[in-house]
Amino acid sequence: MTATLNTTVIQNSASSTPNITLDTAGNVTGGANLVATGMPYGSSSFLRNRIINGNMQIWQRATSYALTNSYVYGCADRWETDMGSTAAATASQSTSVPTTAGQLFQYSLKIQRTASSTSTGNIVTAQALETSNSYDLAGSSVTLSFWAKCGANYSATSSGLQAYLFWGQGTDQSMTNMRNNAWTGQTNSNTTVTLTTSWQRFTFTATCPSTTTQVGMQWVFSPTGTAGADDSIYITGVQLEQGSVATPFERPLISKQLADCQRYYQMSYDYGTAPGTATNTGIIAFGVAINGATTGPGSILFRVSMRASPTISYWDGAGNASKITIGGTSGQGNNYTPSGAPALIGLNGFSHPGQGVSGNITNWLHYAASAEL
Amino acid sequence: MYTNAQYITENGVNTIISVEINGVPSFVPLDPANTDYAAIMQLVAEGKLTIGAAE
Repeated sequence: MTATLNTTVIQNSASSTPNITLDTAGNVTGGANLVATGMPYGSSSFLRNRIINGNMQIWQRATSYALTNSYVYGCADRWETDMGSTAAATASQSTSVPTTAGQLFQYSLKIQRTASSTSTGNIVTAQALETSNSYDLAGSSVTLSFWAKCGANYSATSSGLQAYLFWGQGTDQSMTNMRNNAWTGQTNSNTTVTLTTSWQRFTFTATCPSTTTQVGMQWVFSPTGTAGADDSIYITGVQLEQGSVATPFERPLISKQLADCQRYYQMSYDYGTAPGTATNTGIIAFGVAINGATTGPGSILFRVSMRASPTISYWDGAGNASKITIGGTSGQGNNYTPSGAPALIGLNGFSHPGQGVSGNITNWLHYAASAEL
Repeated sequence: MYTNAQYITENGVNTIISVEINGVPSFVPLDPANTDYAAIMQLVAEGKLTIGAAE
């Protein structure tokens, strides 16, 4: 039997104000706190989503990347993409997105096998979480949700896309080891969803083993035959949360999400400028030499504290790798070899020796720092 | 992925590994939490990579 309760106010008999007020527009107004019992702590809070850059908003390195058979973070931040055997595919930023009101996105990640390619290695997109963002999921239901669609010539058998959740027992183990099923105690839960050329939201709930200390995920697109003109997948709105319900995608502000990504990768170049680009915009002055003396090391501070001491690469203003720019009264020059390598690399910065030439000069460089898993 | 690896020393102590990562000259701190360092040491242990001594 079903029935409709017609009322505008629900109020405890001992309360002086309404507990719940219902208006004619369908709005519900609570009188005080909402307490939901039976919900795991993590699923009842904001910042539910454990995935960073789930809406494919941040692309510091590049907006397109030719996949290789190495596990590389090539374009969308925090997302590793690769293709087994002979790689013949590209990952790129797409503006094709779901159009459901209230579930809008600006970008998706498109991964397309090269047209006419006969290479059929698995095409994988993956993200590994830090232990600090994983440990409290142990023993809980965990729900992965994402929006996806395929291109008109999607070649996977039965239009399937495999989704995996990985469970590990170590601490901050690498993406490479996750992809090689080499995390300590690594197990997985997986499912296969069926893509169409229209956007769909998929959800997958699994139980995170009680011994889990690190979580990761991946999709596997297994191409077949010869690639047609649009043998591709599109993904956005990825969320991994505690509980058995896929809640609406938790939209992050771009400022927060960029900072989240910079914990793993950051650079001196302006956002959208690929490392190694010839530009002086944002280049960092780190040392001064007087009367031709060799400069001592200068300090370079990171914008955000990094996950671990990062790997450093650097360029001069002309894009020459492992070179620095020198500026003085007679002008600016590139392609100078510094007197040493980066040193004292820590979570918050590093030092770098410079180089002196005649007169009084300043040393400059661009850098990229990677502390990815 | 990792090629041309060589130690860099400071005051006679190894402090950094200079290495090309996918062709990009890079400098890796000797920090086990750095996954490049962990991967390099794993390749060394497997005999697939040699780190040259500092010059």
